[in-house]
Amino acid sequence: MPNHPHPSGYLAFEEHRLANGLRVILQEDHTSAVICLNIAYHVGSKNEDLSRRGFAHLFEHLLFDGSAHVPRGKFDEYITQAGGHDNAYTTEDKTNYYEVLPSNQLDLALWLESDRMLKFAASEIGLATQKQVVKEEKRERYDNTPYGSLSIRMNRLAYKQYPYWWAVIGDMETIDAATLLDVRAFFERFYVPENAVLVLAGDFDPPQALEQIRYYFESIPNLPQHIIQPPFNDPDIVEERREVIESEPVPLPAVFYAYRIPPEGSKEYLALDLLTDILSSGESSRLYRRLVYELQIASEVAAYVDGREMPGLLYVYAIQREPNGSTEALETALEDVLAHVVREGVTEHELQKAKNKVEARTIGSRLTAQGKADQLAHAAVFFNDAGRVNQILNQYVQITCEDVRQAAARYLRSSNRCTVLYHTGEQTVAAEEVS
Amino acid sequence: MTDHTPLDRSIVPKPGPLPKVSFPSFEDGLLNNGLQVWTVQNNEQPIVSLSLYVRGGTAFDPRHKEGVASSVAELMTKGTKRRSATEIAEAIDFVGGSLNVSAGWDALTIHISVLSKYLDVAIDLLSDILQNSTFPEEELERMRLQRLASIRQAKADAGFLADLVFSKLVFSGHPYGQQPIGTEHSIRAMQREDIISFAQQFLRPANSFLTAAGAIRPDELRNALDRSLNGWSGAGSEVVMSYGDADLSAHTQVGLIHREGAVQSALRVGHIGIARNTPDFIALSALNMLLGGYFNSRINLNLREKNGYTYGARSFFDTRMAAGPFAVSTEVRTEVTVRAVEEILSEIARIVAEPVREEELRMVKDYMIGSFPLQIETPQQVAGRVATIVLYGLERDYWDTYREKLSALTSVDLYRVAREYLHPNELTIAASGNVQAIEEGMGEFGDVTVFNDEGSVIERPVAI
Repeated sequence: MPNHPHPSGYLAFEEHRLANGLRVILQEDHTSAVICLNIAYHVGSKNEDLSRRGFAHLFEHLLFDGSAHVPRGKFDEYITQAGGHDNAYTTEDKTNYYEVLPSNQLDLALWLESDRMLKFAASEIGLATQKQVVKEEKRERYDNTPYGSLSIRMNRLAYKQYPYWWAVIGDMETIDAATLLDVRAFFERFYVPENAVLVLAGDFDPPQALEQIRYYFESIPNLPQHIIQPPFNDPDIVEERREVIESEPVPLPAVFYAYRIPPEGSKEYLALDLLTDILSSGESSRLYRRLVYELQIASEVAAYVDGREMPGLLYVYAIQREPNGSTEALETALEDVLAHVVREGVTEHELQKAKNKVEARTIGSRLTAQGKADQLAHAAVFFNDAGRVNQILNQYVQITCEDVRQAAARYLRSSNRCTVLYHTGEQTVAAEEVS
Repeated sequence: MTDHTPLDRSIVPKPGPLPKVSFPSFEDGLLNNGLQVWTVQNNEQPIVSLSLYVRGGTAFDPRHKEGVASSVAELMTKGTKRRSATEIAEAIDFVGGSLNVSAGWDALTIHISVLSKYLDVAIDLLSDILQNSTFPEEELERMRLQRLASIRQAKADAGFLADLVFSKLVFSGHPYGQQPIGTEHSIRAMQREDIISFAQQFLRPANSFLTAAGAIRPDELRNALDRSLNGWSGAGSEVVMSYGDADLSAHTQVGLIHREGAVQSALRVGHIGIARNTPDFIALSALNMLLGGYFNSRINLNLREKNGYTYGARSFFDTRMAAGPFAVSTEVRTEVTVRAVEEILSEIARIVAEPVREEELRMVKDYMIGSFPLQIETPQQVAGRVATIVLYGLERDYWDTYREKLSALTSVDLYRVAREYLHPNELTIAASGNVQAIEEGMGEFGDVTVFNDEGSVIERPVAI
C-alpha cells in the first residue's frame, strides 16, 4: 500500500456469491501478516422457540464442540496451535464466528469453518458440558454481577410479544431442556449457506483466496429454508412500565431507562445514536456535566443505543453516588436533561462534536482485520449491503439538529419508556408502583 | 498453494510458508528539553496516538496515603492555568479524541488518541496538562466524593474483593500490597499537598518518555513537540525504584472475604512471581501459557471443559519493575469451590513434579510464535511493546529476537523454571464469596484468615 491514509477509514472490498448461495466478501489489506475469517449467520435469540430460550447462544458454544472431521475439543486446539484466536457472539439477531490467524493459515480457517457448516457433530457429553458452561456464564455475568440482571429485566419489560422479550442468555430451565434433537433441527434450519455471510479480511491474494473458499465451501449443499425473520408485532409502549428491584445486592442505587426506538440504520436511529453521544460521551457531555460534575449526585452516567434489526432500545442510566436515599433526585435530574433536549434541541457545536466522535470511533474500530470483517459482515447480514460501511459516516453527516430534536421528541417520552430502579437494602423506600 | 486435488476433509490443511514478520521499525529522538520520543509510523488509518510515560506509579504512593498516584492521574486533566476541567474535556471531545491519564504500578501514563488531522489539538493539550496542571482544590473535593463512591461500588465486585485479599496476603507490607484507587480512609484524608508533591517529584522530562503511533512522521512530530514542550523542564534524572521484592509466605495460607448474595466464589491462587526484566521471562511466559495462559491450557481445560466448574480460568505472571504476582484466577459456583481449588493445586503441583511433554510445549510455542503477528497488528500495539523495552530497560532488539528465543525453549528449560519459580507448598489462596458455605472446606488447605471489605483481618475467637 502506498503511504496514503484512506479517506475516513474507507474499506475497499469485493463481493461474490457461491453457487450454493453463500455470500463471500473479500477485504484485502497487507498492512500486517494477519487474516480474519468471519462468518455471520442470520439467526439469533429472536429465532428461538419459546420453550428453548437461550438456545441460539448455547448452540454457538456447541459449534466449537466438534464437526464432521474435527473431533470434540480440537477446534480451539487447531486455531491456537496455529497462533490464532477465535471467538463468537450471539445477539438477538445474528450469530457471529471468527478466527484471527497468521496469514499462512488461511486454509486451516477455511477447513474448520466449512467443516462445521457442512455437518457438525454434537455429542451428549458435549451438550451436557456446554450447558454447564453457559449456566456458569449466566451466573458470572448476570447473577453474580451488580446490575447484571438489567438486560434480562429490561427486555421483559420492553417487549410483551415479540421474541425480544427474553435475553440472549436465556433461562436456566430452558437451557436445560435442550436436546440433541433440537440441536440438529436448529442446525439444519439456520446453518445453511444461504443464511450465512463469509468475510475474509487481511493479508491474502483475492483471486487465490476466492478459489480456496470455493474449494472448501461450494460443495456444501444448500437446502433452501426460506427463513423469514419474525415480523415485528409488539404493541407500542403507551405508558411507562416500571420495576423496582430490592432483592438483589447492589452497592449503589441506580436508575435505568430504556426507550423503544426504530431499527438500526434508520435515519431516526442515526439521529438518536448521535444524541446519545451528546448526552454521555466524554466529560463535556450533558448528562456527565449535569449529574456527575455539577449536581454531584451520580457516580456514573451513560446513554447508548442497543441497535437491533427490529425496533430496539435506547438506554439511559445513572448510578447514584451515595448508597442511601431514594433515587428520586437522580430521576428528576435525568428527566430534566432529557426534557431540555426535547424542548430546546441540541446545538450545532454539540452535533458536530458527536459526528466527530462517531468518525473517530468508526475509524478506530477499523484498525484490525477483525474489526473490518465484523463491520462488513454486520452490514451484509442486517442490510444485505456490505457497502453500507463506506456510506455510514456520510449518513451521519447528513443528520441535522432538527432531526435530533424531532427524534428526541418522538421517542424520549416517559410514555415510551421502561424503567428499572435498583435500590440498596439500606434505603427507606417510598411506596413505588411496581408493574 | 492453490489446490486442485479433490477435497479430502479428513486431512488437516498444512500451513503455507511462514509470513515474513519483522517487528516494525521505530525511531527514537530527543527533544531539546531531554524528553525521549519513540515513533512508530504507520499510515494505514488516519489516526495518531501519543503516550507519555512518567516513571513513578502506585508503588510510589507514600505510606498510608494509598491512591495518591491514581489521584494525580485523575486530576491532571481537571484544570490548568489555561483551561478549566470542562474546557479540557470539551477540547478533546470536540475532535472525537480520547485523553486518559492512568496510574500503573511503576509509571503514570497519559494517552491521547485523535484523528491525524487533529494532531495539533492533541499536542496542545498534552503540553498544557504537563506544564500547567493546577490540581484545583474544588476538583479534588469532587474527585474525593466520586472516588469514595467508586470504592463502595468496587466492594460489591467479586473479583475486586478476591484481588484485595490476595494482594494483602501476598504483598503484606510491600508497596504492591497497596490499593491503587486508595481506601475509604486514605481518600478521606488526602490533601492537595500530597498530590502536588507527588506530581513535582515525578513529572519531569528526564523521568519520562513518549511513544507515538500511527500516521505521523517522526521528524514532524519532534519539531511540533519541541515547539510546544519547550517550557517543560525540571532538574534531576530518572527516579530509581527503592523497593525490593516481597517475600514468599512460609506455607500455604487461605484468605476469605464475604460477599453478600454471592452465588459464585472468585478465586485467586498464587504467590510472588517475577519482575519484568527477569532473564527467564520468556521461558516463564511459555510455562504459564501451558499451565493457564490460553484456552487450551491445562487449568482451563480442567476447570471449564472437563469439569464445567467455570466459564473460564486462567493463570498469569503480572510482571512489573519488582516481582509482581503469579496467580490462577477464576470464578466458580459456590458448591464446587473446594473441588476447584483442589484441581488448581494439583495442576500447579503436577507442572513442578513432571516435565511437560514436548508435544504440549510444541503447541504452546506454535501458539506464541504464530500469534506474535496478531499482537503487533496495529501501530498502537507496536508502540506499547516499544514502551515495554524502554520502561523496563530491555535490549533494543528484544522483540526482533523474541520468536527465536521462544523457538529454542525445551521441556528441560520449562522444568527448570517451574521448579525455580513455582512453589506449590507456599501458596496463597484467596476467595470472595459465601464465607459460611466455603470456610470449613477451605480450611483443609491451610490457616484461614477472614477479611472485611476494608482489607482488615476480622479477629475471631479461636475455634476449640
